[in-house]
Amino acid sequence: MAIHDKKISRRKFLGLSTGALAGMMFSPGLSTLVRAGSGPVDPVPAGSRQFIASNCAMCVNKCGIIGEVVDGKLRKINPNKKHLKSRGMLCAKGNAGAALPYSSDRLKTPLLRTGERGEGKWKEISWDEAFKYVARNLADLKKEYKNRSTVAFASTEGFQEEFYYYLVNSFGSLNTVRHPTLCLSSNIQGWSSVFGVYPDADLKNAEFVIMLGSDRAQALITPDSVDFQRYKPKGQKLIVLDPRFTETGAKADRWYPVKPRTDQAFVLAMMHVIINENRYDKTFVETYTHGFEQLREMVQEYTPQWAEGKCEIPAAEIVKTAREFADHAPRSVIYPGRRSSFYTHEVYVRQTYAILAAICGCWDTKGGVVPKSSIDLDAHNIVFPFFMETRERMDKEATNLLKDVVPSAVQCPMIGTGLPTDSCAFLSEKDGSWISFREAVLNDNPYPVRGFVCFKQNPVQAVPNTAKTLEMLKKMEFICVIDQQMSDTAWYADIVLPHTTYLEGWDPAHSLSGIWPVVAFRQPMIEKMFNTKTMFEIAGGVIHEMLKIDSLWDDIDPADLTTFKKDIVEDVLDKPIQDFIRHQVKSHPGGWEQLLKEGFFTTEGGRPRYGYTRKPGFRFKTKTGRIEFFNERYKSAGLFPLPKYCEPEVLPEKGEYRFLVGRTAWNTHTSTQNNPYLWEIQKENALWIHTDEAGKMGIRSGDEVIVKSHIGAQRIKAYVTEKIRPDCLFYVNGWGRHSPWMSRVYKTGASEAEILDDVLDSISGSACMHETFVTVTKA
Amino acid sequence: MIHHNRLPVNNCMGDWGQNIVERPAAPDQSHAVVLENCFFFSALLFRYPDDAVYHGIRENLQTFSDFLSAYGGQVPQVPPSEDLQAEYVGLFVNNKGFVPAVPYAAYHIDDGRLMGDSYDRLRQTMAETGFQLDPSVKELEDHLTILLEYAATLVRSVAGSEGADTGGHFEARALVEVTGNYIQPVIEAILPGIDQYATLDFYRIAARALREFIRDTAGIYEIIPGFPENAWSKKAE
Repeated sequence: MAIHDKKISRRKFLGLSTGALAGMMFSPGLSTLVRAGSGPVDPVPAGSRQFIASNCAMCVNKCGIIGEVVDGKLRKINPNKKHLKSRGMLCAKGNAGAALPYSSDRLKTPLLRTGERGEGKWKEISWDEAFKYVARNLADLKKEYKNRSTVAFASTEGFQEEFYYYLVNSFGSLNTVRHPTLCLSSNIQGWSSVFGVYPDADLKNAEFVIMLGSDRAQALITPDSVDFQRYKPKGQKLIVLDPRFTETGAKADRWYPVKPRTDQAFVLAMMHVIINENRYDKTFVETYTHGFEQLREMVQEYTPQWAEGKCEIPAAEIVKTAREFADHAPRSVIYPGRRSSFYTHEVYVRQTYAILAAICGCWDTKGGVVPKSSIDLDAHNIVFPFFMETRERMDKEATNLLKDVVPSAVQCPMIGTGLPTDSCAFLSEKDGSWISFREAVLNDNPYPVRGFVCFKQNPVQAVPNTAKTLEMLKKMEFICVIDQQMSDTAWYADIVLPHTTYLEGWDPAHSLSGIWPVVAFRQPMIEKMFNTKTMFEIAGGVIHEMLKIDSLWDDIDPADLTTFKKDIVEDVLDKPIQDFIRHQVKSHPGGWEQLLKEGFFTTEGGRPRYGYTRKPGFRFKTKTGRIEFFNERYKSAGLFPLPKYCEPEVLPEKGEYRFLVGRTAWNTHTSTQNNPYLWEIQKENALWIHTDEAGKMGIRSGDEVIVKSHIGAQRIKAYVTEKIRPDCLFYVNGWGRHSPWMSRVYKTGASEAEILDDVLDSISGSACMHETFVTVTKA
Repeated sequence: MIHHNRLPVNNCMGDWGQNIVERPAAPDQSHAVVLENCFFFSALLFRYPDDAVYHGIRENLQTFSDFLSAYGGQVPQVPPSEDLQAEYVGLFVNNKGFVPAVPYAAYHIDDGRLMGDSYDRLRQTMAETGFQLDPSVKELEDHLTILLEYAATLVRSVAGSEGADTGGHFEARALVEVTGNYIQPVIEAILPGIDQYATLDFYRIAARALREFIRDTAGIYEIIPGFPENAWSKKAE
């Protein structure tokens, strides 16, 4: 600033025509300040320092955190050293959460669209106006389409999601679509086909661990990511199969650069060795399992030599690994992992893994694969009304949805006849299937969906094939997004409702299941800064407005409405959320106090839980009640009951590479790249390309390249490395947003969703994110 | 160009105490009222234009046309309410992934975070001068519009204290601090973002007018009746 000469600087001011200016007075109603007496008011607390326990929400793990709050402001987030699940660890994301409330980018007040969708014209509105607007639109859609399922509700997991479902169930749509089919649906389905449940791995006590495609050193899952590095027993051996030399691979005793899509061959051959060499656990197999003879017969063709031809790992290595696995059993783990949205036959891949664990008796015992335990909470006794004008979820009711719209889903020759052509074979009623759901919406099959309410999910960036997702949004007459930031999806909404951050509000208690189950919750560390609300408050506000619209309740029994008002509105939503939480933990004396003090509590002294499924009379959640190698439900559904090897239905053509997805330890999907602290760690993504392939094209690290699939193309810098197979390319998700407003990620790096093909696993409904082939050229 | 991050935030006078050698001979109470109104009108310009604010701007634009012309070079057209609201949100509230003109002082003074140390000092100053944010207002005290309104109230306090034993020294020092160490860093920092991302001229002109006005206030304060000569000294009592 130029320091103006004082005399000169006031000439302009003194030159103003003072008559009118001196004679006017602004309305006191426009004032935002109040005078609070003559003395100091509302003194700022000086020197106060508190440590407040809660749980992280920067990703799915819910690790224990302690907020250091100085004079009412969050100075730092520390790990909770006592937390059983996170083992006293807090990652970069957890630390960076401290920036969230103080980010200028966060949503601060309800916004209503005033321009065209995506144009970026908004006006501020009050919460009362927002609640009325949402309720009115829901009512209009119900009236117009006479089908409550014409409004779809999307969400990601989280403690407040419980209250989102209060809103969903109060409206009565069955079209809900959640994150699992972009993540782990096929994993859950595959393991559950054998054990009836999706288990955890006891990495803290395992002697031998095989991880196939799981990068636990980067894609953090607690306690696993901590246990396999810090708390593993002495001598634990780790085998990693991955087309990339990941951080996990770097920590392994042996890393095999497996050919993509052939991990199943490796494990089938291991079973071939273990069964034919009588290294399996005969007692366990006889006591708990069903279908061993069919399994024995099936694996005969899967010799190590055969597998070598598929997965390009030497047969001798497969034999060695199989013997080691069996020798260390039951303290051997074939790691279930989490994200499995890779291939069309992924359910069978995961079924194969589960069966390997079972034949060696590595089940529900120390050091093996262990069913999750949980701590019971007291549920609120609530029943939502039964609405007459509700049709079945569209991705279940649709006809020819898979056959006609997602032909790639039916090309897997092993699935054969009996493959579902209308709906996915084992679609989760609550999770749905993003890929098939979107296709159903785009084709109005079997009915129109014209409303979309989205809670903290960002399908524009998260679901493969962004162009299709944008087309889906165009069909909507009403879009409401509830989030903390103006996501790509929020940008296309009609109304955006700002959600309170996890550091400013209360979240209900949740039982975090696992080998070491805990009950966790969240409490505010700091006062709410802006005009935001939690989903608990938003659900209450919208439902109250819905109750003022008679047409929203004309298809239910009036008695149901009375019960609804009493049990849900008056007894839950109209009361403080703390009452809700206290009710949840009322059967645990001292539980509430422990939550306030530590952020979590456990039972039974925090001991690990093993063995409840090995007790006499236990019935597994399978058709036979036993651990199934031969899946009877699959047989009934016309699917192969055993995990036969599935040849790839499509292979890369000359000049094409298989595109791989993956994560880093410092970002969560597409949601954290704009965090200023995390952005300091990684400012853009880069394309991993093998040295030999790069050399053929004259590509060097740092060169700009174009990666192209038949869905789209992205420009990105190359990272030339020998840490990836020559037939694959990879870049991490979260950059290259198509919006010019994503300041830190716009035009930096490349977007994953913009090139990923929308291929479907038709058994679980999972997206298949490793089924996209791309070319690369120097830009 | 000011390097606002380097402002001596603990020195409430900053650079502003330099070159003060003379007070005007005859302080005029009407100048204080004009000054107060200029601050308050500026506060309106940078407040979300809901119906009341929008009408307040429209109704008073003509009255303040000399002010806008003198400092902003022209009097802006007031766009339709809906357009102005959209412009305001897009510039100052939320955009996709970032806010082009963050209106919070601490963001510019401290380390790019809201509610930094300078925010605490501001609240302390507000409290010590007997003001606080209306609890119904869901905003931070260092939002530009609130800073400008606070400056307006301080001008009134200083002018109204003329002749009193304490002479409004504390309020005068607060006024110097708020304009020099809070309002000025914000407006200097956000003007480029407004220039780049504004789709209408309204906030470009308003921001330019405010910047020039604030740059001049160091001299203008001298003419407030009751403005103490030693208000520029951080040791003043």
